Amino acid sequence: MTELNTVEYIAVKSVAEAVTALQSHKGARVIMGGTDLMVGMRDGRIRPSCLVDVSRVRELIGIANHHGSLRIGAATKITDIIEHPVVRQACPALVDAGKLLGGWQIQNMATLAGNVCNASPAAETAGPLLVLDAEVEACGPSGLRSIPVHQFWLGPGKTALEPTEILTAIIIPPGVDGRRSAYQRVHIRHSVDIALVCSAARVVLADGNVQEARIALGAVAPTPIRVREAESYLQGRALSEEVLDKVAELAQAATQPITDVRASAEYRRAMAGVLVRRVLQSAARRA
Amino acid sequence: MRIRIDLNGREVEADTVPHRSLASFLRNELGLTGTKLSCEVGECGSCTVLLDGRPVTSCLVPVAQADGRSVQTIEGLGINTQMHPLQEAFVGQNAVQCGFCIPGMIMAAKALLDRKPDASSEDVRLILSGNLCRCTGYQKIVEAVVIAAREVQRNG
Repeated sequence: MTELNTVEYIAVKSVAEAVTALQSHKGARVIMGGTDLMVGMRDGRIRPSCLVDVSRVRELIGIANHHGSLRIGAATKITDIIEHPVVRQACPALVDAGKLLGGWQIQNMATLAGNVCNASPAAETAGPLLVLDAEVEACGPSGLRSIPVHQFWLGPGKTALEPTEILTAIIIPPGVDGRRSAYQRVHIRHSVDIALVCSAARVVLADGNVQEARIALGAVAPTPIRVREAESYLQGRALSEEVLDKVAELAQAATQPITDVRASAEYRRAMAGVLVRRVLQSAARRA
Repeated sequence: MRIRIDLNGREVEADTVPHRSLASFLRNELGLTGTKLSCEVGECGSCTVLLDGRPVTSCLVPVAQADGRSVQTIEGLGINTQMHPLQEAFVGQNAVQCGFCIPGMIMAAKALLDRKPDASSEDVRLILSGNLCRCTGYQKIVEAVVIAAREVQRNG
């Protein structure tokens, strides 16, 4: 039997209790589904002094649709997100990503907030949240604040959260038309794999032309990225072969991939171009 | 921490370390070694159990998160003289090679059949994609689950 380090474990019932626990325990970590944290603790990469378990905090669970915004509670399981009828209609890219996050077992444990806070450059849900202009709602000792998701990731494993803050919800703001959105990745195994490269896109079409576009790439830079040059280039254009060629070129230019055990930098750059084309076409076909 | 779970329909109470994995708790503290531990990072599915009816990789579940909930393991599924249709089908189809992945495969398959008794072989392949068999005997495993699905449907 593996010996376990002594770690204080506090199962809290409210966000306020969670914040208090984080304030009074230096080196504490919030645990939701545990799918990243339990692995990190087992390897010894993560050594928290205290685990603040928020998995049963009612106010953090559930999906609410009000005044046109969609609020996904931090501790909502991936399974409950991808099966939610409003999410399926309004944010298909997020559903594509959730279905590829781990396998069924992991989806039953993992949370959207956990995937966001783990801050992997290859995080499944990062691209969809970038293209949906999502906001991260966080609560700390001085109350709630909102952070645009594109400002949330600072580097691999690093986020804009303070040590005494907890992510409370992911919000898709009103006015974001996510119906034509999609996510795809290049992978080796269908389930329980990490993307070699991943991409999300969202388009709003008018008379066959792109009125608004969002494109994101993952696993090609220290954080998930938006490809703003390609987004503005697409405005007013139809998704023709020539236009998609140019978009792929702009997407490749925006990458700063590394070579690691899973893929070479050259392969990642090449696949970024391929994926962006596919994901844009897939998004445009949705209605 | 005092943990109370509904384990295979029976209430179990124990004192344990809250961040111990549910898999380790089942195997080392309760002696239920039907749940296997292999990769211990949530990639192989061999530790799959049902938590409130949903399949989870129990190597990643802190046992504190199972407190007050129902846990189903392979031990609760059937006995030699009265096997679950999934177990009958795995035996009948020779779907078991070394057997190490089988409890996890069966528990994931059970969760599928509980939700979708008319599961197709595509459904089976998709939901078992989180379970690895290193003997690579997937074909017979998929066939066994499809046969068990028919059996479950026939018996309503």
